[in-house]
Amino acid sequence: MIKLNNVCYAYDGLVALRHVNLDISKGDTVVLQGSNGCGKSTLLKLLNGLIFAEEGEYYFDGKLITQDEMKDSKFSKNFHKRIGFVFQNPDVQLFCNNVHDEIAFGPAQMGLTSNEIEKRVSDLLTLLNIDHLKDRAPYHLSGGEKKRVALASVLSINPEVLVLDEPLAGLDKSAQDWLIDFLQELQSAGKTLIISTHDDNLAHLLGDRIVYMNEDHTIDYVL
Amino acid sequence: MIPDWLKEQEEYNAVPDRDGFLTRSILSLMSMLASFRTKTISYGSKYPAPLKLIVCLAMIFITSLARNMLIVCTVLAILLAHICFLKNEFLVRTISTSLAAALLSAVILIPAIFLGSPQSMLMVSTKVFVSVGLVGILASTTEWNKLTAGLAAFHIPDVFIFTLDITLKYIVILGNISMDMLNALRLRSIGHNNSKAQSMSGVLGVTFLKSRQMSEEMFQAMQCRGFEGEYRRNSND
Amino acid sequence: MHIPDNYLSPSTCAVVAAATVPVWTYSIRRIKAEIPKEKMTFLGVGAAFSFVAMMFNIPMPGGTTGHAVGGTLIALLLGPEAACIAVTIALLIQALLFGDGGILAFGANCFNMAFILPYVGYYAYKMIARILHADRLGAASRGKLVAAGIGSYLGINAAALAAAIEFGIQPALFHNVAGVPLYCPYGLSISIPAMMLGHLTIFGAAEVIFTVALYAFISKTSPGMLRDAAPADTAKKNSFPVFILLAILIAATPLGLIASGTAWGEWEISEIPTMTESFSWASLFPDYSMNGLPDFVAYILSAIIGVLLSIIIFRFISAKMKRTTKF
Repeated sequence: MIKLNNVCYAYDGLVALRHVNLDISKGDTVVLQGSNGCGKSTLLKLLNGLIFAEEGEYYFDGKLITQDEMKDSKFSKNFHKRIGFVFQNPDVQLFCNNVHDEIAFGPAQMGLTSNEIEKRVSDLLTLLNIDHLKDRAPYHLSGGEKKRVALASVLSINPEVLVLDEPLAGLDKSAQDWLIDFLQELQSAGKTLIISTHDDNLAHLLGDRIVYMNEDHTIDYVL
Repeated sequence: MIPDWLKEQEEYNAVPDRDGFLTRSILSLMSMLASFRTKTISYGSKYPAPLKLIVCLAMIFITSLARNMLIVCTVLAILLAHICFLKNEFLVRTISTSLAAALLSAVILIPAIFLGSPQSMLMVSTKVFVSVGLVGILASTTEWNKLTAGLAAFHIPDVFIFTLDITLKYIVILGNISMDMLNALRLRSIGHNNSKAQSMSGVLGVTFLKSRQMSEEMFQAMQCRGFEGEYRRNSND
Repeated sequence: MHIPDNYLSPSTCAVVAAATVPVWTYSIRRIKAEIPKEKMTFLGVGAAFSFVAMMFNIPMPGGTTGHAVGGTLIALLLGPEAACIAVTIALLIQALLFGDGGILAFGANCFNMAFILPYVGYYAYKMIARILHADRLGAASRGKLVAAGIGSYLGINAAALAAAIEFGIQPALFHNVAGVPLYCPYGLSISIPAMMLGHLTIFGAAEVIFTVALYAFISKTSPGMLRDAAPADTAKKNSFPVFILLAILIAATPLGLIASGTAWGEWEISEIPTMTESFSWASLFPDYSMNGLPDFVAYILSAIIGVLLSIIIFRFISAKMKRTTKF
């Protein structure tokens, strides 16, 4: 489903990705590990079409993802619907007046009826234990609550692929355990997961495959 | 526990929407942040900043006062000679901004031709190119914090210089925050957004609230390091 | 609305800048009195926010986009005095580091966007809020949003009018012996409709949308951030000196301009050329060859400029095409 061929990317003259080859099949869970600054976040941004390879190709479901292709509004919207990104810093993702609207933002754009939208919102509020936060402004929530709201607001568009950048960062132990369980459920539901993390526990519990990014921005497979 | 709709793979056909405001805002933020990132300046770092400011100001003043194209062209020649020595990225940026400003002026002044003063278009456009170019060289050849510190030579109060330094730092921080938010918004803009202005205000609103929070934390950090409300610059710049 | 250099004569720039100095002094004094020392750090951050906000494209109905200055919004959040300084700093950075807005014209730009815009916007907001009985302390009501919208619309159009006037008086006051305007060649009859058309429509709409949407968001999310309406009598006390100042400045500026125009002696008020004057290329540069200077100076100069331009064009193109990273 996702294929990276010799992808290279540099930022301000500094190399971030070097000859990266990666194959991810539908339903896989891939865990991305590596030290800070090795290019994990860059790779995730590239997978989501925020930045584009300078050399090499990125294929999503057989289609080549380039800057030109993404200029087509329809193409890019269809793409973004199928792959969801949960940023490391949830603050960056939350821009609505209250949690309900935040979760409803995605489905509202999809043209669903208001009943369908409400169903999705209430399902996710329950699923992520944030029902009591429905009318609160996301900006004032605690770190853990924000992470759950961000996750819900991405899940509401029902993406096939879910990309998570350091999902456990900043959470206390019980919240981390909860999240790991939740991700396992999403795994069983057939989602393709791509997770970058420093946490070895997560990697071993979830990862079908662990991909390691080296300091020279290349990639190794570790099982 | 996982609801059925979340387990299904649904067919989706997006409706195109006018998202120009998003991509254009992201682009202007990106280029703005990029110009803050260029660390090494082009040349001329040994000249003190206040001197460079005065010279630049004087040349802009002369250009503006000139009634004779000869004077303007002389300054133009000096300007171009300087630009030749700039590093690539500074050269591109300076020329781009000067040219854009001059062309814009030319377009605005086209009607002047029909009103009986065609000289205005040529004169003002050339002068605009020169003035903007002079500022571009100043910015390319002086580290920005030295430039703001240079203003101190004109007896501008320290608190103003201090505020200016904070502004420069926070433009980068706030710029990055709002750009990340715009990107996150773009990722979730998968169809038709009926309330684009509301989304935009959400991005800027959160940026403002965060900036407020950061400034309070910054003051608290300063207090922890002995700050009591008086701003004094070190004079070893 | 940023005025570049060479559209206003240096004397206009100097006079308007001089008129802005008391505004800056007043604003700084009020800020020191009202905002405790610790909040001074926020001035810098507020200026940064103002700068970043000016980069945003505001989506408007019909798919058009525009830019806003946001001076009224900042005045609603931090007060007009802080807005004045924040916008001033943002304009300074734009002029000095980005070439956006002239250096000589910096005073004029501040007069329009850092003085007129936030002060008119803020006090218009107060007046309208009072008329709509929406000026009680507390969360925003519909009335406050309407007042914010109208206030910001008036603010930006007042600033545009000021800029239009600054432009429009140029040709009459500053032209050379032949009557050719040296700076902005459009008189008031052109500059005013030209500036106002854009600002009564697109830029006004962008400013209103920006101000109202952001005000609504912040009042829903963090209403404590809004600078609530001060008690009525304090408001009266505050506005009095500002309006006096404004009146004096408006009266003094044209006088100052006319006085300096003749005092400098460089510009003679001669007849405005009529439309029937013939046009020839030679008249493009009537002063191109000065008396006493040989023609070859001009030729050498053009040769030098030509060479330099070719070098620069070549470097420009190759810089754009080069990709320097080796993977």
